Amino acid sequence: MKHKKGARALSLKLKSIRMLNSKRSFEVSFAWLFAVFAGAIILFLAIYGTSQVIKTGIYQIDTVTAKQLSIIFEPMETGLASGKSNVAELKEETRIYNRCLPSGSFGEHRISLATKSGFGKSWQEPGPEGGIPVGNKYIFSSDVLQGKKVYFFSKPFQMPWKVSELIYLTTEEYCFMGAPEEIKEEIIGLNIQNIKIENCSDEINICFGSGMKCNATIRGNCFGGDCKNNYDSGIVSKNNEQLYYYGFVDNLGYVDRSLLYAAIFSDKDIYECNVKRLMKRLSQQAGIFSDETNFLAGKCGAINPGMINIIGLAGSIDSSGKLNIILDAAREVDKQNEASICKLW
Amino acid sequence: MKLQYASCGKNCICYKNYKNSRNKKAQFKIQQMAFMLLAVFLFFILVSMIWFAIQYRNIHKQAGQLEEEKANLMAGFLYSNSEFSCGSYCIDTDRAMVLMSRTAYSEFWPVAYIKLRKIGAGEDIVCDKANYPKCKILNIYENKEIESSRTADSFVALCRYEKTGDYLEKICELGKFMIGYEVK
Repeated sequence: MKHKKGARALSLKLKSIRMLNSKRSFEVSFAWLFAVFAGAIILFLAIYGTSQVIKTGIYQIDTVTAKQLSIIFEPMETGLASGKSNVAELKEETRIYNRCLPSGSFGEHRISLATKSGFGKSWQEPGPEGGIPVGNKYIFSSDVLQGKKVYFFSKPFQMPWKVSELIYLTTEEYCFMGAPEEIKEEIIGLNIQNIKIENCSDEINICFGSGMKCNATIRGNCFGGDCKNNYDSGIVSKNNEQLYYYGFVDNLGYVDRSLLYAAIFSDKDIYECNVKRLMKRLSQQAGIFSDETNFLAGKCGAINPGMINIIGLAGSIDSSGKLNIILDAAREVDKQNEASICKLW
Repeated sequence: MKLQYASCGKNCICYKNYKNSRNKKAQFKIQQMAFMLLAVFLFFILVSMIWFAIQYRNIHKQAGQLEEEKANLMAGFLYSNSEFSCGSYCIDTDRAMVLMSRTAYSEFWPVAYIKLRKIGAGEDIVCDKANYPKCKILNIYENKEIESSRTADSFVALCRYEKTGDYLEKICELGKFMIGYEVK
């Protein structure tokens, strides 16, 4: 019996072996299974690794471009000129993220960039994380700019001395409708390529006074002896928000319109943040001038008592609506400087 | 084993023997594959390490070049800031003396140092309130955290008010506006 059972089991096994050996059967050995499994893992790791390398590469390019953009701002210092303009052409459609932080002694900007990746053409994470810090520049733009061509121009901000250059970043085309002659001349003189003053079609319309299809409206409120034009100070209304600007008029009659352009081209949060930062810088500079006046007092008696007033007022301004409180003090200090033997500016 | 062999007939396949030889072959194949996989992984790791090293060096080089470019541009434009300027290509050294003591500006300029240096004969005496203006170098700002730095500079007029007798004069000397940048 034992022999019979054993023979039957053996014949069954032999049958199965014959089946495996037959041409119609397919044997999946462990080696094959292992190779397929390991191959799949290697393939997955290779594809994942490559996509990560590409992503890192794009992030790196964005970071370098953001740094280069922050370097381009350096030559925008105007010196004695009334303004400068430039155009930067990027290799592909890019988003520029501008964040303004008013904290600290001077506040700062954080600039980051994002481009579209090859996979699905979705926007990459802006690089670098946190942005490139730009502490000594005042960049007026919208929070996010998008385009291949970046237009920038700069103008000095005076109160009463040149506090700093204001840099305006834009990527879109603008049309200034009903602009006064002085502003038209300024735009033509600066050769700002993306601002039209006539023959407008699909641009963003900036209306001085009133007009049709206005994206932003400017209402001048400067009336009086010091004003050359009623748009020397006023309110820029856009997106149901109001931004206040004031132009300082120096002893020679030059009107500083830098804040008007700042209000036109920037979002409210960037504008208000930069106004705070400018006032911080003005306060620090007034402190330096005040110390210098004391330093020079023995030589030329160049006492400028108005400086202390400027330090206090500049420190108290926390929004564009309060800028007017410093104008009179700035005019007073300008007169004192003009009358002084040792001129500070 | 002898017994198993003995139980096998002339035309009979020795199943256990067959299974043993197959197992040994499979084990050998798996070992071969494991070594191959290890070799492939090590190769990829080596290649990626070399790639990362090259990338790191390139990024480092690029960062250095950008710093240099920025410093050169700053040397050409920074003196026009109101903190220094007394007009076109002119630096007010009286103001620079005041600026030396202001700590708030330490976070403002993204550079290793800012120096002014008078060009001319004489010893390299560093200026302070006691020896000014009979000195040569004004250390306006220094970031002590940066150990290794290089200099970018530009020529400027260094001007100050000086009283000679009853007259007040603005005396200007040729100097250099020097910006230090970090070497990466």
